[in-house]
Amino acid sequence: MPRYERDPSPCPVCFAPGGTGGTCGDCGWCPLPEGTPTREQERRLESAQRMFDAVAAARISPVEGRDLPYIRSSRPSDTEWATARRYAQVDTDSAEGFRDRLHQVLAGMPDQGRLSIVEAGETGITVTVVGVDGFGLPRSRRRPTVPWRDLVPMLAAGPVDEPAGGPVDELRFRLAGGFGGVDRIRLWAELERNLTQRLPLPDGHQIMPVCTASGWPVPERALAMLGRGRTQDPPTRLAGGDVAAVVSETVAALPLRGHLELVVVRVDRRTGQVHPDGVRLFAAGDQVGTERSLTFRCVHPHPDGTVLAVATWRDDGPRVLSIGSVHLPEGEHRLRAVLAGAGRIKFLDPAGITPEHRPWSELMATLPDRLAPQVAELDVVCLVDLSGDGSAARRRLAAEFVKLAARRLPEPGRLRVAVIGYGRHDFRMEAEDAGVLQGKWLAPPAAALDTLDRLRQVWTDRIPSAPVEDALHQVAKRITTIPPERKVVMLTLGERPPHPPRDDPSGMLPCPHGHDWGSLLRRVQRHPGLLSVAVLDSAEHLTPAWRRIGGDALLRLDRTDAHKLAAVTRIVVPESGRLAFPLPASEG
Amino acid sequence: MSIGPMNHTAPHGGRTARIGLWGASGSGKTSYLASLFVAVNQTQGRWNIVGVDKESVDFLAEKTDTLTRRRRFPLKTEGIQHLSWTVMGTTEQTVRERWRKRTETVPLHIQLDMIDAPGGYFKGAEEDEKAGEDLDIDIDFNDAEDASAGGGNTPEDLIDQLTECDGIIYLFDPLRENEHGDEFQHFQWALQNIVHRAAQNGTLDGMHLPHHLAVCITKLDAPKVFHTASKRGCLTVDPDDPYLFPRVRDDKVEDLFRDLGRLSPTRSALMVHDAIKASFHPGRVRYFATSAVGFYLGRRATRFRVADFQNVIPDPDERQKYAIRGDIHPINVLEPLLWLGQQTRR
Repeated sequence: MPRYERDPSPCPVCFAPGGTGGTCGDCGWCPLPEGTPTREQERRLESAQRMFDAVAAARISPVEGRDLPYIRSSRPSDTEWATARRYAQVDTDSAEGFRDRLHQVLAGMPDQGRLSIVEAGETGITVTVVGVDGFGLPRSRRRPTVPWRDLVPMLAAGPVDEPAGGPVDELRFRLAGGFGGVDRIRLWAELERNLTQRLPLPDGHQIMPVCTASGWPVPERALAMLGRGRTQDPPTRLAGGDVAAVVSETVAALPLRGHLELVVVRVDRRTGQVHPDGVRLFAAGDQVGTERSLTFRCVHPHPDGTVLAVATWRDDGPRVLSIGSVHLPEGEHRLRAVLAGAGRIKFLDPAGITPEHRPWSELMATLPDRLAPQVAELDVVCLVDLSGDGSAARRRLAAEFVKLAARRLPEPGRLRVAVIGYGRHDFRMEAEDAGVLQGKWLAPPAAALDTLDRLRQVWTDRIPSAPVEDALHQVAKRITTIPPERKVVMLTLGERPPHPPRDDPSGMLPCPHGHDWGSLLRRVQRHPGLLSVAVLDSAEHLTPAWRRIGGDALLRLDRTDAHKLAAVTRIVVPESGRLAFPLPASEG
Repeated sequence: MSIGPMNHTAPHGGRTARIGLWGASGSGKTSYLASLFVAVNQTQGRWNIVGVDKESVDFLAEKTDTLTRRRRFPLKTEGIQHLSWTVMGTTEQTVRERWRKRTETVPLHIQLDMIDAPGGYFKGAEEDEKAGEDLDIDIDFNDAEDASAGGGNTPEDLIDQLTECDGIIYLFDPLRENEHGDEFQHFQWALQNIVHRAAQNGTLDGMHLPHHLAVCITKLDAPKVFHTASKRGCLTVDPDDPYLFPRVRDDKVEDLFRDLGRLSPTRSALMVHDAIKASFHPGRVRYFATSAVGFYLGRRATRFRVADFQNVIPDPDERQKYAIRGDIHPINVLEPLLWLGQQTRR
């Protein structure tokens, strides 16, 4: 036996509890006088029940609801149905109004704030949380819908996938107010318990209740329960409409909360050191659709392309929102971008930007410590060992390097080359004054190539040193005539280290001319910006002397070509010195 | 076996000193002898040397030419070479008269009968057998006959001849020892055999050999030796030397011997030093630091330059050989001979 039959107190029309014989507070039913009801009294009760149910049915559907089998007594008459439809009508808010209200709330929300939009609809309750992400951009996250059968299982009698007219429609009918035979006290208690369990709302969240099943008692009751103590605002009633879409659109259309910057690199004018920075592309408050442009400069562009990254600054540093890369030639370029949504940037210019998939740390790791300076004027001083098996290879490498440098600096006077070939000291007393050097001091590249070609190979002996110091003596004497603003590369191609200046326990024969390679090298290296590079046949004679002579680069002949030499001498920028990021237009 | 007249009496009243040259292979025995003529000439006429026989005359002429004109080192000695020279000079002699003593200058002629043998002979027979095995050479009877036909050209003969010498020049090459570390192995074989022979002959002087021994550290001109001596404070300069070439102080030479011995990986030269002490009478041993070619002196240099003194360079024409850079200035080449000559003359 149903409870309502055991407990006569509920209202026979709306089953509201607590009837004490007076007029029902919910539906206004005036109880029948005691005693056996007359036929007329029964018709009045049936009419009231039908009318009560018809209102619930009209909330579900103004047309088809009239035929729902759950309406007690019989199908409502035209008049009754028209009346029920009139009663079922409720005032609803427009979608635009909801959008404006949402926009207003989100715009005023602090960075740490969270807004939970609780949407109670015909299928269940869905919570969408809107917050500000690590980039300072509002983001919405829609949680899965909690269905009514989980919240009010007592209203869902049968399986979920029943055809129309089955338990699903009955559940909707009950949710819409078809409470005939429903124990209201138990219903609300069950709803409250399940809301607490299934839809816990974290403290600190602002609540915005939205009801898309307008006028339906159960959803509205659920919203009231969830909002209790959290919001004073009444639920927004929407007649249909996609709340998720409205939230997404509103979030996307919010103005920027912070500036967005294009990541560039700046160069310290004094030290040449490179460090990342940003130039403003979009300002705080810029609306979606805003278009901005700026000019940047590509210097030593990276072979993998120039990275165009947009970042926003947070308390703990920059956060990159969007990365693309494009192959651009050296020089100035125009960047045009439009704010397509919250944190979404659409690059309009330059053309050909593709998404960049390399990790940010990897991109940052490509940045060189310093920007390789542009070479304007260059003097190359080649010291070439003319003895041994590597003699021809040394001269060939020197010639290729000179040719490459000449291609890089084709204008007359920008490149000069000195060629000093050194042979072997003849330690026999009668030959101790014999010269050991061949070559020509600074001359145009063509003349230097001719000199290199005419160098004569000298005999090879077993003395483990070579007169590098005599060659250094010539360089030290003449390098003072080179203007300090000209870049100088001293390229030594040899094998055996210089003779020591004096006899020592190592037994290496000292230079018969008494030249001290160490002090001569110091004199040579006083020239501002001089690069000293050594290329050795092998590591067999790799002594401290070579480490000093090759102070800027020490290479092996068989692993070195002109391009590598050009890279280490910074005549061409090596890959490690190329910039993956642009410079601001005013720099570089 | 005997290499000079047995009466050992020189024509000018001097006494013949029979001196043997002892040293490991490559220790510079032949170079030492080759530089002798130049060393004598450097005495500015105080001493002269003449060969007693043609072999000795030719040896001096040929080797001196190799060292000074061709500036090469003479080839190694093949077989035992007997050389005989007379070193002529003067010495001061105390003359007793009835009432007083007086000193007068008298001629001094030292007859030097030298034995120069290949260094390998000092290793003894065992090493030779090993060498034969290594080379995988079959020795037939003819080889043996050839060896015996040489008239005593065997290690055993060398021991016999050294035993009968009055004085021995022992050449110690610190560079060789530093590289091979086998000095004691060479030395002790020969020493034990000499002691054995002397005991058989009854010539032992108590527990010591009767010989005078000049221990010569060779190759003072080599950077390692020179800088070791320099660091130990052993060097000095003879103010009468016009080139001021450094020399090792007489009282430091023995210390230098031990110091150089410590540098070798096996330190076997220290055992050589101990063996010398045990087998020779302390008063009959003297140490010298020598150099056959001496230090380099540049063409325009007027005196020794410590910054550039190496006189031996890799031969520019022949691999694995060395050449002499400039003029030779032998150091302490004549002195050991004169000392032995004077000692054995007493």
